[in-house]
Amino acid sequence: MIAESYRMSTRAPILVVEDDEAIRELITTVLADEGYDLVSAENGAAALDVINVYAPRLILLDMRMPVMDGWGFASAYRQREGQHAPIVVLTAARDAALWAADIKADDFLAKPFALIDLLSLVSKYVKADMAPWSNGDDK
Amino acid sequence: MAHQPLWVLLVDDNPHDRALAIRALGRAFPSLEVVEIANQEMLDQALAARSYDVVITDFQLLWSDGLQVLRASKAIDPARPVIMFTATGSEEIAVEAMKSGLDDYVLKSPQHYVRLPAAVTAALDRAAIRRRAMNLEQERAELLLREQAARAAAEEAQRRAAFLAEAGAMLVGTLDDRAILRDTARLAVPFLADWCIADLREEPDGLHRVAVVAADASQADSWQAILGSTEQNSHPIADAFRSGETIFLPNASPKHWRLEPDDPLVRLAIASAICIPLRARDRTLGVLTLLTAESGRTYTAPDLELAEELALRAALAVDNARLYHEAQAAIRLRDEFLSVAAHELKTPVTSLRGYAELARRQLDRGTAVDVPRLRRALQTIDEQTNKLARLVAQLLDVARLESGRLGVEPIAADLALLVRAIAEEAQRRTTRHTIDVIAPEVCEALFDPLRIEQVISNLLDNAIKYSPQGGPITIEVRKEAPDVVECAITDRGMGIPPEHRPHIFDRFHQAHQQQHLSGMGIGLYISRQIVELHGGHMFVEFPPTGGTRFVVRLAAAATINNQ
Repeated sequence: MIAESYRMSTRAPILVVEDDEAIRELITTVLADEGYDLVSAENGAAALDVINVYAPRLILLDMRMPVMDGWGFASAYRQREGQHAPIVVLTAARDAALWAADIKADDFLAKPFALIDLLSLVSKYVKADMAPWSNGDDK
Repeated sequence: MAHQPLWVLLVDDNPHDRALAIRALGRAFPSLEVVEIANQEMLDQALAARSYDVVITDFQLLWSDGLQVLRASKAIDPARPVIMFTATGSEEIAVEAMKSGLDDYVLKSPQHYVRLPAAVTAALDRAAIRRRAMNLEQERAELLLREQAARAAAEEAQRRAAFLAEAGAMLVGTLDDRAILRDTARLAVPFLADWCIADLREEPDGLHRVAVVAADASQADSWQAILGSTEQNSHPIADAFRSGETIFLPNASPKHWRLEPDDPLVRLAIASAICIPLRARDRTLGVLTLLTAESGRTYTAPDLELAEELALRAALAVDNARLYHEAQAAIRLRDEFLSVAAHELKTPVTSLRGYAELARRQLDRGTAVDVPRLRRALQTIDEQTNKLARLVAQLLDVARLESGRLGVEPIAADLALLVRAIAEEAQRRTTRHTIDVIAPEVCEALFDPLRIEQVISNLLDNAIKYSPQGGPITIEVRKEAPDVVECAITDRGMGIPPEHRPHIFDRFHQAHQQQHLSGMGIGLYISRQIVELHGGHMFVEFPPTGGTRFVVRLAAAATINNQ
């Protein structure tokens, strides 16, 4: 499923992979308000489909999801050819840091999080108003 | 004081002399019994027939002499006095007779007859003293023997106590049931057995041999193949396991082991055997078998007692180890549950916090409020609050069930009406599924409407959740028997993997954990407990066409067994 908030743009989007509909909508709304381009998926398998169309510049990844979980997605994603976007794990699990290390994620954010923490973490990897191609993630 | 009769054996050929002697004795001893002896045959018979207090014999006899009589009497009773009463003796004879144990020597002459009673009295007194001395000596000897036996018993008891103390100390330190039995078997050999075999009960298929220990280590290897299996030649062991009673075979023979004559085990030549079931908390956990062979030792009651003490310690250690591991597993399960529950609770909390913040940010911006967006945020907060409240209610239900505080208040109500309402409400939440209710107009049953609504909603939510592709869901309500009402919910979804089926009603069990679909794993547990608190039943069926069919049965009659 590709989020409506993705506007046809030359900029690489942020990919939100999250099974809980309310949380997925929350993240995409907040980040879209800040001017980021977004695509989203409800599980790891759907996320791989999205990546076939859009190369993301950042992946916000939930871990516990049906069909394909965060571990499955990370492993499949890293096996793909080409450059890889940084992955930030978003999880409510007690072992958030451990799980993030487990899939060699670049960062993690424990749920429930403050929006300001989400925004500052995202801005660490993506400058909203910057020309994204200077980041070099997209080919 | 009534006198005991004085029994006198009087040996003399001359009847006249005997009569004189009896007369002299009769004056001194009013109750006198005299047996008169005039030949060898009479003497032999008389000595064999009874005991006498004193023997009086002439020296010169036609058929023998007084020395022979003296020796014959002393051979039977060395303490019995013998008096020689003779006119024909000499000093040499007197000395020789004294050496042979003669008590007195009285000359037979008219003036000496009066001396005879005095000699008898003195001899009797001396004999009494001798007897007392002999008795004392015998008592001392017996006492010595008893003391030695007591010391040996104390030493043996100490050895056994030390053995059991060692067993206790060693077994307490282990939490591995197999290691406990291996240690026990090693400890038993050679102190208590030439061979020790330990078998452990392992679910589901019975006994498993965990140790075979031999006193003669060089033998152990060659017998390992035969003794290493519980399949063969273990009949008394199997009997002990089945019956829970000790099998004690002090004199074991191949027939006790039901061996064919050509069975290799016959060559082991088991002499004695004890098979003790390892029992703790009314369960048989295994069998400890002690055998003797090459030592030829035969088990006795004290051996049996010691072996049972050892087996009791081993059984308690095995039971403790298993309890410990069960407790650890329960703690692990609870830990996992808490982790999953925390995850489940944090999900709505994440939305609540996020949407509240999102709404505030909008208001803080000071620009015109985007009303539809604000309304959506508040609606989400409302939904997530309900979700959170449901999760918390489930957790509270589990806590109440565990402490026995969850009660139900059954009343007579219409189950069909309740089911139709729940189905309508659920249908509004899904477009992928078609929920059909097959029910009579009215179906009265005895139930707590709030609690049974919780059960049926839970089952219906599961049916929707586990048929993500959509499809039909059927709820049937019917009278299963005159006093039983049944509600069955059938979906055509993913079903439940066979390995999870026995556990789906267990607390904290998540059948779909791998798919991260399972929630907290307490819904079915709570539902079944609620139904059982009603005195009803809840079970699951797996139709061959796929999917799952959950059945709830409740009482239709006016009485209900509600504890």
